[in-house]
Amino acid sequence: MASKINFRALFKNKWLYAGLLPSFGLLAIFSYYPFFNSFYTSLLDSNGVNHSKFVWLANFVELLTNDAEFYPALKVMAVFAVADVVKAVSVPLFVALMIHHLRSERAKYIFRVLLVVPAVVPSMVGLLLWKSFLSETGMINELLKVIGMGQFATSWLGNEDTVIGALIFIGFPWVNGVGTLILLAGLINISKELYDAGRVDGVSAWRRMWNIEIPLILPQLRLLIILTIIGSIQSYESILIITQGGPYGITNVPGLMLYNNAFSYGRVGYASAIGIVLFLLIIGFTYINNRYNRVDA
Amino acid sequence: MQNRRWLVFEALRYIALSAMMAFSLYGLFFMVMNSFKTEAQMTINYWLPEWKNLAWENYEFGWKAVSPYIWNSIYIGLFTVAGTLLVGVISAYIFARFRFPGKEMLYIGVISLMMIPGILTFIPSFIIVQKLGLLNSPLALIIPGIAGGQVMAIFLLRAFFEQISKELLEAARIDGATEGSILLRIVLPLAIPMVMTISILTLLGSWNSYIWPLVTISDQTYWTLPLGIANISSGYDVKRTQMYAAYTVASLPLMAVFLFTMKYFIEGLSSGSVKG
Repeated sequence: MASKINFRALFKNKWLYAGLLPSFGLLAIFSYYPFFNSFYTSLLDSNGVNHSKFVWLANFVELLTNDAEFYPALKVMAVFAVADVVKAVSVPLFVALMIHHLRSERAKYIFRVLLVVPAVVPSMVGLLLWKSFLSETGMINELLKVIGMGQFATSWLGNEDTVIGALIFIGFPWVNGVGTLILLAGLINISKELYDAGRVDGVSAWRRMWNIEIPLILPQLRLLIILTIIGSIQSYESILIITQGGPYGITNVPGLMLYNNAFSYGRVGYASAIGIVLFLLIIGFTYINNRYNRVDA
Repeated sequence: MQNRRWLVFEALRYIALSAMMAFSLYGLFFMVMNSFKTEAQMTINYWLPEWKNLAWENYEFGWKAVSPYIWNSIYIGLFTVAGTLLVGVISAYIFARFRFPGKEMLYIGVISLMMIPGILTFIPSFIIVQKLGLLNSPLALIIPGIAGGQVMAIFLLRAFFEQISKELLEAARIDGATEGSILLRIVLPLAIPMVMTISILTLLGSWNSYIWPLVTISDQTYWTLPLGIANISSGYDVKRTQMYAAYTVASLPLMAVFLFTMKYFIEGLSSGSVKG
């Protein structure tokens, strides 16, 4: 293919290539180079500044066989990922279905606007609000006192038995605006004829959901699930802000390990190896998801 | 009978939806209403708003604490959006309207980047920004923001530009319009909704970004809003009500944008899913 490069055609189109240059210049520096460099860096014993030595796969060997933090962190990440998927699909599906079946277009629009309102609040504010709600003097404990269950009040984020649950609780009741909007977009595309056919057959709302709606918005559900999994594998921002991995490291996740190794312990090569392992996990899940999609289509 | 059953279901839907929304928005309501109370008032009346003796002094604190970072976030966000649109529109237009050798290969080279997770490139990106001497400069946020943001912009805009009728553009070309004026006078006006959607998405990304500015910007004069908010919250002598006022102030800029571009906000968040 490359044996016969048509230089004349290339030259004729030189302005087009020149027009693409800003895009590709930026991508070369900030996307392609970092992508390839991450693999190389993972093979180094490097502090990123003035020390760098090629150590082959030593970082991976240490991470997978000799790092007491890694597997517990992976397990916590898996727990969060499962919880995130359940949260991303259950409540948004429920809310999307209810909005979809409202008669009034105006009401539909108002609820869609309400779904988006939390997005105007900086995500940092959202996280810090929840951190304060879950603190010892926070809203959750105040609520427990009001309903006469004050004896259960605790420092939800400081207590090792409750911290994982507390982190999962964040965002309750988990009306995720983005997820709901994606599912709504799928529901709107279901043809009216199918609904009419269901109505003629006297199908109940429950059966309608399982036999018509869920099968037809499966692409959107899958998209939501895979995006959530990819997000959960990478995410450590909320943990960095809320618990820093504590108490006693039990909310540590691989992403946080990556961050700490790179920016606190000066182990850039090791941190890159963690990044590669997470990347492979993401590739794996994406592959599984694509295969499923193909079989059905 | 059939009719009444339907009415009951409809009523149930409204009740359930309203309850869900009330629950999920109560936290924000709580923040705003308590930002108008003194600490003493909040202790006595925790759950409901206080209508008299509004504690505006909280906002004096909140504004002072947050406003420098708001300005930083606004100009960094605006430059990121403008750069993303400039680069993205030109490339998307070239991909959509012209035929040239290597086109599809180059295009795949762009959109396959959507598959690469940020956590993989996080450290090498930091190293390159460091090597380029951009650490501690707003450019460390703006330029990589444009580089990453243009991928989604090119993807969405190319698809949109390809839908515009060829005849329309051909007619303009015959009338002697240059490529530049076709793009500016015909194509872009048609693409305004898409451009708005992309702008909102890019702005949200820049506005909420925390870890990248945390590691690249140590000089407090260039801190963005998330860094500033996190910092005041770790202060020991700050009262809850003051903090809520600062949080509320921090939420105002996007609230203002939201009021004028509600439709595009909804569109943007619905299509945010293309970004992997």
